[in-house]
Amino acid sequence: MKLKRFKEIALDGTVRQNPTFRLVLGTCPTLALTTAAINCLGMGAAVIFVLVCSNVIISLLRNIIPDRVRIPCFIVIIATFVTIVRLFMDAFVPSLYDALGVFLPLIVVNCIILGRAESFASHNSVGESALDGLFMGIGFTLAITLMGIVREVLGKGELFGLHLWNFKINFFANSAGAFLTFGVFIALFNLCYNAVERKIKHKRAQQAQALAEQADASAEQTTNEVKEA
Amino acid sequence: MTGAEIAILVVFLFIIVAQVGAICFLLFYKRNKAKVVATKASQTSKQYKNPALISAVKAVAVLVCICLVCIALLALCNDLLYVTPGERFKRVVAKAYDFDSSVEFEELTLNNEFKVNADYGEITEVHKALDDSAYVITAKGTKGAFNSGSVTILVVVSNNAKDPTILGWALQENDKQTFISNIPASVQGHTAGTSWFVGESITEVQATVTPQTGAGKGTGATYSENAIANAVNMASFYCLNALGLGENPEGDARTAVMELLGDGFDGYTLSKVAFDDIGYGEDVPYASKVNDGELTLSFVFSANGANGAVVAYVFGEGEDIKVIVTVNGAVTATSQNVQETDAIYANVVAYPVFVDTQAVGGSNIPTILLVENTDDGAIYYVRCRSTFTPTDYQLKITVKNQDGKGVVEAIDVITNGFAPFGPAEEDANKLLTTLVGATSATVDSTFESGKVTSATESAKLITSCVKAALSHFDADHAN
Repeated sequence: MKLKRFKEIALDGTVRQNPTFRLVLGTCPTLALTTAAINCLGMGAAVIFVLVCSNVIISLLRNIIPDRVRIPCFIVIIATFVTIVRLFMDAFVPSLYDALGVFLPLIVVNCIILGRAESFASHNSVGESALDGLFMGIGFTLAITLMGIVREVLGKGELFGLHLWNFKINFFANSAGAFLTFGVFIALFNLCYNAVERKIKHKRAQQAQALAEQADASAEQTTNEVKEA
Repeated sequence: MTGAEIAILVVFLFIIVAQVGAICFLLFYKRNKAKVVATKASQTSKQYKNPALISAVKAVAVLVCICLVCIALLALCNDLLYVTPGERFKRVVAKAYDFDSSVEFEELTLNNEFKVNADYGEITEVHKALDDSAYVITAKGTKGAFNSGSVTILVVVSNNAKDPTILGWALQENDKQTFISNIPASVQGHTAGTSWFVGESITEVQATVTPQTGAGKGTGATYSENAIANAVNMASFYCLNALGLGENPEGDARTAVMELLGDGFDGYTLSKVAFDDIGYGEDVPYASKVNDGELTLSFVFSANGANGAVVAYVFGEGEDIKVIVTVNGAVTATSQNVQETDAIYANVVAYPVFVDTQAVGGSNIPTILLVENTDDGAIYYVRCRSTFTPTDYQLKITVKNQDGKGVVEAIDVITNGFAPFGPAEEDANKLLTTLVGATSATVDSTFESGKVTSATESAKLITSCVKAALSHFDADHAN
């Protein structure tokens, strides 16, 4: 795989098509689990595992699975990996399993996973699909962990369960606080993203203009040389 | 799931797939056979190929194959990662209390007599730590829970015969408790100061959690808190009664009374009589009348059955309790440490509790609290309650003996349920003088004539008390 393609997939997953802040997918766990940052990391790890595994399998079977049964097949594959994650967490990280509660099995119907299976894994090679799953998962994990940190610090005065100070605003620990934080993050993320994109476009335009001017100058010089000759 | 079970499952699914395939094939064959009859025989070989049907069969086959592989994978993972009930139990125990990792637990057989309590809930499991340090009680609190559900918790109680305390607790599961997540992990466990109930004696915990009043802990899940408190109470109830932990004066007293009653009273169920119902006046509780200077009345129990009405008096606590049992008003048995010359014996004979009329709390049912015989009659202390205002009358009725029949000589109000200076109270008090001179035969007509508007309820209560005193006096002097 070329380095350029790798960069594209990585940037798409984490920034350009960030599932949480750009595509606004997987909103349920985003709102419900961001009361504690550690829960977000656990959820993110589970989503990364399911995304990578399901993308790989779906990409492998993309030429075998008939079009008319692709969605049931995707769901079965995703549900299998979600169940494996559940069994694993129940066996080895029971506290996280209890904390994630119903949102762990609900990963099956997470739009990010089904969306990537449908739009990417079923049309691309295994390696690219695995990378897409990995970076989409990382993008999701970063986004919800960031939200979790803000809500935990403001709502509980804690960070990753460690007590920071007694000051806390209960509003941020509640559902309404989740919506507000989510909205603010979407706005800030898109503001930054658009600003950076504009800057890049502007820079590219300048570069193109400079190249054009350079080309004009060299053409003029060539013309003059021809005339002199 | 074991490997053999997986194999059986795979074979079973293979049979299903084979059956589906056979049905599809038959359908395919019949359909094409009809076409063969209709068209030329030479073209049949090509017409068997129905692209849509083949595509459908292929789609189903792929889906079934994926399902089979997934099932096999999940069966394998389940086999490897399955968490046993014993492991789950240990996990919750670890949340409740910091046992040494080497400690094992033995499950005890439940005592059916005490495993359910209508006021609290039920006990589902009891384990004993094999190092004899504690009991782990799985209690389900049902009373007071949200949405008629329940909360199941593990309570760790120290194995201390004299003063068992709660070492820790943890939530195990719940039913219909929408707000159970409001109960934070910090209030569970065994940390003194932050964990609820920890360090409390199981004989006191029922007084401190006050679940019935809904005295919440402020988590926003008051109903679930009530259920938790009731589960803890259930655990303490079981420890006291079934495991024999801690001091249980009431239980000891009941046991002593039943032993004295003997086999003929096996079917009797002793009810504890509240002192409030056997006292008269606010400052003169009946219990103070019955003491020998050292031992005061601790419990009064009553029971009714085929062998008559039982009233049992228990004095003192612990190993030195003194018990006097009466059947139909006569003393039938006493504990060995009671003599007929004892003051408590004389007092029980002189001031029996009239438990047969103890239906106080019902409307207009009088209770004779105390009878003091005098030279020319008797003094009755009678109480009558009503569901209306005034809710409670306690009267001192002096009855004079006139040719074997009782005549009311005086009526004094000890307490009544009036608010001070209520105008109806004055009207009601007129009846007190009107009833002087009444007998059993005339009391009803006096009630009718003496009834005063705006004091109807008082008139009923006063008349009921007087009738009870007179009928008791007449019956007592009939022989």
